[in-house]
Formats: sequence, structure tokens, C-alpha cells
Amino acid sequence: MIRFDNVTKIYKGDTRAVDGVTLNIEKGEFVFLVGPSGSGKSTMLRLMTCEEKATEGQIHVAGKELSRLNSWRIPYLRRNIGSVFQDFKLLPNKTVHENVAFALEVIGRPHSVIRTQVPAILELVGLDGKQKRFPDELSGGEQQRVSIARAFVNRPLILLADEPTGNLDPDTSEELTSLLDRINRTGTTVVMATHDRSIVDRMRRRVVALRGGELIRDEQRGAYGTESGTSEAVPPAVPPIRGSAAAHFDAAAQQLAPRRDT
Amino acid sequence: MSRIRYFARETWTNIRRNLTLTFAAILTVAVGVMLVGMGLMAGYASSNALGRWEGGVQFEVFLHPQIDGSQIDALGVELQNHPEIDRIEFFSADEAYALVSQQMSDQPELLAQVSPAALPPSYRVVPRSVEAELIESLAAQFRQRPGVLAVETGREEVDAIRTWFASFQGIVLLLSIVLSGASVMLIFNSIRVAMYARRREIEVMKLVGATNSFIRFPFMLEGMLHGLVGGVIGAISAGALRGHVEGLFSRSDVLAFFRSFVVTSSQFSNVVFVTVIAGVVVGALGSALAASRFLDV
Repeated sequence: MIRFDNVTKIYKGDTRAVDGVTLNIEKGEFVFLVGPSGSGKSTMLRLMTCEEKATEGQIHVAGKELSRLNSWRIPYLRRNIGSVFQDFKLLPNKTVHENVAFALEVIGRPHSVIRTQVPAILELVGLDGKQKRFPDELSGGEQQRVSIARAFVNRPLILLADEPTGNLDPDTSEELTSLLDRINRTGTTVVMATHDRSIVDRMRRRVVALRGGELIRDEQRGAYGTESGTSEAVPPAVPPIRGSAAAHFDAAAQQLAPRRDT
Repeated sequence: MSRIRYFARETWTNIRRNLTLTFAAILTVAVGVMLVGMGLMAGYASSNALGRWEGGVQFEVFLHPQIDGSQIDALGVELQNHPEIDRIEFFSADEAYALVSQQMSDQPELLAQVSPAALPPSYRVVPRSVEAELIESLAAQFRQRPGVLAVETGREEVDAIRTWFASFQGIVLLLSIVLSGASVMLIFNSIRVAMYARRREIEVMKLVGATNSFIRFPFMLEGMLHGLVGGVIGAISAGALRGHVEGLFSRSDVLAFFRSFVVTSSQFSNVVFVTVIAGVVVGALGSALAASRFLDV
């Protein structure tokens, strides 16, 4: 689904943000990108969405080689990628419903689709009944749910989350991560850049650690690890939350518009 | 359908948020295209007026009032047989008097001092060619004939009027170019401000995969709308100006000469068409420049 072949990104002024990274992420995987600030996590995500172009190496996303992608094709690539950010990037003058609807509207989805899809996704992320609120009337966790709803409403193949829990308290962070986990279980590939040690350690998913732009560790069922890059002893993994709520979520997610596999 | 609703809503929001700049842009467009309209109308008016001279009488041979009939006929035959002359028309003293009395109908005391016998009969001559030198040489030939009082070519007046209109048109054209340039820059600026105000929306749109043309379209539409409204206001102003000037010419005796300088309705609809289109083009240009410069994905 996502493949980096010896990718290097050098910004102006000779900063090597990503340095010779080779990485392969399969369809349906859940990957944590970890590492200190400035280690290249955000640049990796920006390379995947074509907001940045690799200086060297090749990147394949959803079957497309990005360096050979025409600039007019980039929007179509992004329709296969949902993005979630630390600062939510919600539009303050639009309601919850309008914020999510906007994402469908601007890619030319018909009104009838928007009318059915938006309430369904809002129910899915647990925002039922808050459609008419404005972002500043919601808690941080709720705002991030809106942002996840917006990223997922078009049923993308890939969901990228850049420090989604960076502004949230530990309990809310936990809830949001389990929401991302449930989205992953519907078959969506999730890549989450994070600083949040407790979440990474609890989830025991694949961990890709970066430092100074270099990939220093890539572990299946890994932990956050130490600054030196080695995985330290961590408590045994807690089994993922499965229950009637999760089953309900999976069923509801399948009812959304069919995925446009490319 | 949802697309049309989206574009209409976004364009309206942009305009409402940015009223002062929108207003300034529209007014500048209006003045600029009004000048374009004025230039066009001046061109039409001068060619209409001068066309009457050029297509009809090219010069007029005035005869002595006391000339006898045989001399008139001889001169007529000579004019008619001249190889450079297409046709002639005789204008008797009585006909001249009829014309004068029509022109002086509102000044009977002046008319009373004029008698038909004192007025010169004349030949109106249409040469085969309208070249100025040919007309001058023909005029010179007949000026020396016995019985000829004077030969009026009207060429100098026509030339003077044409020069005056041409320089008027030049000045108006120059001003309209300057103002159109200013309009493009104002619209460019107002679209840039609109885009800056909506930068978060634009960021989200790019994020979720809206195409560039989709993002740009409301801004382009806004610019063209500025241009269209400016163009319509400009055309209405040009129309008002036309009415005012023609009213002035028909009321004033001093300006009576200009009565033939009119713009016909069909010419005026051309003027309206051109001014409105010019407004839209100016708007499209300004907004296209802004949209292509500030929407790099």
C-alpha cells in the first residue's frame, strides 16, 4: 500500500529531514511512526500525500509512483488518503455536519450521498446529536473525532494521523486511538505519527522509529522504545478492545459507500 | 446541482466579506470601460458625420447670383463631362433660399433681410475619387471660371474634425488602458484578499483532494462578476452620457454643427456589448492571475 525505496528528502539549507528510508507498509496494517521532534515523522507523512517531493528515491502510494505523478493527478491520490492533525484543522465557521460534508462537497459528491453519509459517519465516531454544534463548542477530543470523521467519510484506503493525540489528555487519547484501531479493522491502512509512549506500548502494533531522518528500528508488535532506539522491556500487550460497540462500528462502517479501490 | 449551489454560495460569501474592496474594484472597472465606450462612440459619431460629407457632396461650386441661364448650363455640361467627376446636382437660388429659411426658422427677423435673388445658385459635385489632392485640383480648375463665385471643398473642415476626433479617441483610449490596468490590479488584489481570508478552507480542500480548478472556480467567478457588474455600470453610464451630449447638441445653437454627430441605436448596442465584454475580460484576467499565483498545490 505504501512503499519507500531509499527515500531522501533534503529541505532548503541542507537539512536532511528523511535520509535513505526504505519501508514497506502492507494493506490493512496499523503502523506507529515514533521518534523525537525533528526526526522526520511529519515529513514522511507529507511525502505520502505529495505535499513534499522526495529529493531521492521512489515512493509508491496506493499503486502510484509519486515522482511520476502529474500534478493534476495529486488531488485524486489524496482522495484515497484521509489526514488527521494535532490541531484538527476544522473550519470554525462551519458546524460539525458542515465540516464533514465540506470534504465530500469539494470532491463533487452529489447532495444525496452527503445527506446519508455524513450522519452515518458522525454516529460512527460517537458524535450523534452534535451535528449542529460549532467546533469551539466541543471538547478537544470531540473536535478530533470530527476531524477523523472528515478524514474517513470518503472511505479512504489510507488514514494518516500526525500526532492526533498531541493536544489531548491521556483518557481521551486512549479513546481516539481505539477509534483509529476500529477504523483500521475495517481494512483501512493507518499510519500514526506519535510521541505518546503509553499508547504505543499498550497497542503493541508495528512500530517504525526514526531519528535524524534515518530509520533506526522497525518492529512488528513493538513498543515506543528508548531514545537510543532499542525496545525496552514493556508490560505485556493488552488485548484490543472487542465487544458489542466494536462490532456495531464494523457493521456500520461497511454500510458506508463502497470503497473505490484503485 | 450541488456543485452549482456550492459555487454560488462560496462566491457570495467572498463578495460579502470583502465589500469595500469589491466596491472599489467594480467602480474602477466601470469608469475604465465607460471610457472604452466613449472612445468607441466618438469613433462612430465622427464617421457618421463625416460619412455624410464624404459619401455625398465633395465640393460645391457657388455661382454669381446674377449669372445667366446659358452660363449655368455651359458650366453644368463642362462639370458633367469632366472625366474625374461622377455626378452633379444643381441647386437653384430658390432652393438655397428654402434651405436658409428652414435653418433660420426661429430667427424670422434675420430671414427677412435675405432675399432669394441675393443667394448664389450652386452645383454640388461628387467626384469619382475621394482623394484630397484630386478634389483640391478640381476645385482650383473651376475657381477661375467666369461666373464662379467660390468653390468650397469642405476638405479642411473634414480634416480638422477628423484630427480632433482622432486625438480625442487617442486620449480616451490611453485613459481606458490605464484604468483597465488599474482594474486588473484591484481585482487581483481583492481576489488575493479573498483567498487569504479563506486560506484554512483552501488548505482543507487540498487535503481532502479537491482539484485545483474546483478550488479556483469560485474565485474566478467572483472576479468575473466584479467585471460584469462594472461593465454593466460602465455601459449604463456611457448610455447616459450619450443621451446628455445629444440633448446638448439639439438644444444649443452654438453646437448645432454637431447635430450630425450622432450614434445610431445599433452602433450603441455594439458599444454596450464591447463595454460589458471588456469588463468581464478585465475581471477574468485579474482573478486568473491571482488564482494561478496564490493557489500552488
